[in-house]
Amino acid sequence: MSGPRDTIASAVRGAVQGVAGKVGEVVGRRSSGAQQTLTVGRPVDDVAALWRDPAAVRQALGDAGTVEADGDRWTWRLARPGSDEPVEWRTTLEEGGPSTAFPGSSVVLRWSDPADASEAASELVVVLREAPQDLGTEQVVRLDLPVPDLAAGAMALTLGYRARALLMTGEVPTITPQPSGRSADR
Amino acid sequence: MRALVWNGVNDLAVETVDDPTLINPHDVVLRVGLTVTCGSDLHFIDGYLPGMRPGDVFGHEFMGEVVEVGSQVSRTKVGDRVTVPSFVSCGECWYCSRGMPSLCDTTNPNAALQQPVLGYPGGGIYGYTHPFGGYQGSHAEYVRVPFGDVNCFTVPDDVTDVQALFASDALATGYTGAVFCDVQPGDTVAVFGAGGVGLMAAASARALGAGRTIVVDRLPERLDLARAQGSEVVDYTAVDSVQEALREMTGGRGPDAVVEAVGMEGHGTGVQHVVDRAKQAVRASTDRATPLREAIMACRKGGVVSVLGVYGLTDSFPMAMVTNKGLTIRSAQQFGQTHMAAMLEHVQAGRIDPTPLATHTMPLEESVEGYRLFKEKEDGCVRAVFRP
Repeated sequence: MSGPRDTIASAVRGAVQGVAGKVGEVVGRRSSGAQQTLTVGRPVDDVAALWRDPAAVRQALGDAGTVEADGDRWTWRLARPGSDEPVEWRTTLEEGGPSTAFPGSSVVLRWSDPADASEAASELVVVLREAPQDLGTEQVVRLDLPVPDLAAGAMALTLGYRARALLMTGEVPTITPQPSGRSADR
Repeated sequence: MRALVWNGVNDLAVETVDDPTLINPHDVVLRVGLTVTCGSDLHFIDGYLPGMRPGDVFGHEFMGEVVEVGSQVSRTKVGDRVTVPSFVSCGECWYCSRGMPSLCDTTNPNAALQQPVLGYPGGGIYGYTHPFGGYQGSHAEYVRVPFGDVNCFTVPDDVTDVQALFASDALATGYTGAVFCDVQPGDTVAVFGAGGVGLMAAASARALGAGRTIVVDRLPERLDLARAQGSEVVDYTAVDSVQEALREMTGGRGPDAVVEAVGMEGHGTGVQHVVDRAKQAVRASTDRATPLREAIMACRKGGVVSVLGVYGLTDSFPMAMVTNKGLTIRSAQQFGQTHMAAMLEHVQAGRIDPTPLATHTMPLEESVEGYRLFKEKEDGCVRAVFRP
């Protein structure tokens, strides 16, 4: 019988394969907390507003899945390869301000499963702080998940990259549903 | 629609594929007028560059007519005759707004595939492997162009379709490389490689004020083209030493700048080239980097080496020469959007004419043969142009 952690792991593996499946064959240890930092040429408030908006996060997820929110309770339905059935990850969004855990941070957004109290609980953390040289916002996306570092890193980068694209241009780069390759059934 | 697809290493075919559609609000769909072979395609056709998938429509140098525009496209209109630089620029990010569109921070849907290799992923490109975005390429009847207002440039009436075609990439890349040379009036610029990019780099260097351009290659018909465009030439198979030939032509000082326009499947002479070929043949190395090393050796002390050739993970890079000669190395994929207005002005004024690059023109249905001619350099083929 699979527990919540297995469900999350399966969901994330599916999502990662959906967005960055060819990153590489990496097996073995659990992610130690993959982190990707990007500079976003927009103010912290604008970036925070995007991450608080489930519709925008849904857009950033793209083909990796979808998310619905009811107040601070966010339910993620993440794609799984080879299956039409998404898997669910129920989380609660907690929001904090400047944090000693993240020096210099202005906003800390944390999604985690309140039912999972284990030390190795999975979570998605977005930390925002003013970027150096007035370049906008330093956006840190941290994924702490039961998948290898490289896969978690790819997922974190993809989420952060798409969020930045959405903020900068109003759209997310995609080749779906029109990839350069033929459909498999052609 | 019909399109040229990559089905595997050295396995190309013209097939029927889905038509492109508008996906994002800034998209444009183009009816492709002309699309052309590029030497950088050979790297994945030959299997040296990974990241293609069977069925990929490739091609990245093209012009055509706008047939559909997205809801957020305002400047570009249906019916416009346009040329499109090969890299996709958003026009908004830090890099695009500073004139470095191929380094765009937002247009690569597969950025996570590129980051492990580059550290920081670059922009997307049409039809050039999935780490570069996986966008559909231009060897097709239609192509989707993201951010149409940023990437579609209306072609002036007195610029031909063929000239506009090469402004998309061969000229854009050559011009970018010439700009990197920081040409001062009267400078001597040597160019390794007389393919489309090399010829356009030489022409651009002269347009930017170079007093002399010297093109190095081995194919007589290409050297003839270089000569016809105003360059002096060196056939490296006919001299004992390219270095000595260039020294002799420059009073012992060497060229002020050298453009490398060959890339990972370069040819050459000497022991190092034999070693390169052997390593590449057994896939122990991605690159045969003879022209790159020659360019670094040939440049005068304190000069600029502008690298336009596409390389993989080159080993045997002569860093000692760079340091001890005080060289500046500059390189990038083309900054076409930044230079398009200037390039088209030079074309209109007759200072640069890419027309002679189009040595062969044929229907898209014959594009497999076009690539064979181009790859084998048969029949004097510099570029094979396809009319979808």
